[in-house]
Amino acid sequence: MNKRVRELNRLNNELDAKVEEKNQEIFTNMVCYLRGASISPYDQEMVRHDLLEMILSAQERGEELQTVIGENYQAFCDNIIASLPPQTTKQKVIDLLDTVCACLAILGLINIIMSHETITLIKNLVNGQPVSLEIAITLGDILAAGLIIVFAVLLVKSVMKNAFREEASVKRGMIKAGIAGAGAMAAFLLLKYIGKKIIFTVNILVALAIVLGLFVMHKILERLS
Amino acid sequence: MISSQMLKGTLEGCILKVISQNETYGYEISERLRSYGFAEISEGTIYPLLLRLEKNGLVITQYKQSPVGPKRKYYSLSEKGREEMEAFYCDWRELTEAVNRLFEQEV
Repeated sequence: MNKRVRELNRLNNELDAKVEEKNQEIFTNMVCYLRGASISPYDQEMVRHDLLEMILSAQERGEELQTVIGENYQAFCDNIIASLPPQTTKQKVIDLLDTVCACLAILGLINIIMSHETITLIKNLVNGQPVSLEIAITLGDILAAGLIIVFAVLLVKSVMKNAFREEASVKRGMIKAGIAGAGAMAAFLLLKYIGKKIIFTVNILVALAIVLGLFVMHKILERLS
Repeated sequence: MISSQMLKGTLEGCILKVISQNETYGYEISERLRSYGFAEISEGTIYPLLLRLEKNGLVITQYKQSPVGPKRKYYSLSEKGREEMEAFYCDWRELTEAVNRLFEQEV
């Protein structure tokens, strides 16, 4: 998110608070749906700002949201999306790389903190025993990281795409998500069991430097998107 | 009430005409269109069209402070927009004349 988008986002967050409770759900669904569309982050915030102006003005006039926007909110959002320039392939690649770098930085840090070697390292440091700075990366670690990223991206995309689904449909969706979640959990347990093979070892300081590098890369890509 | 299919092709030209009269914003455009007999034209109907006009460089936009808090987007016509509006009106007159000739002949 570059400076211009960040500033507009901050302003929109302040205006969000003025949206009346009866309009909040519809407004949130519209923003969520637009976030999932292939349009630039600036266009998303610009449209969000315009929608806020429409809704707050309607509230001021004492009009219902349906009077201003119509009753088919999804069709309204689809028309907006169709009227805006789609993201270029370059922008899509930058967005994907940004997500991957952010996820890998977070997962990498969790892996370093939670690893058996780090706990042993701290214990040995406290007890004054010789320490090893090497961390083992297993096949399970790599596969689990990949699976978590894919699952998280698909989950977020699914939530955005289905922002306007009716309650009955949401319930069916939740059952499907529950089955998918259980499947993912089973896959993680399987990976834990079969993925014990050490692929390589890395110095903890080097691992931390890689995590930091990924985080910096995420921040740079975020500004480019 | 004018059918939505018929409106589709003409609304953009009519919006350009409203904007050509003076710098204006979404809600005011929808109200003006209603006053001319375009029933059920809400701000939500014209907003995607205004985005498209902006994307195609037919209108120039400027945010100005509104009394309710957020800045309001004001639209004015670009030179390209004026040419487009004039071309639309030429096409429209040609079409209405042809339709009128056809129907008057039938009667």
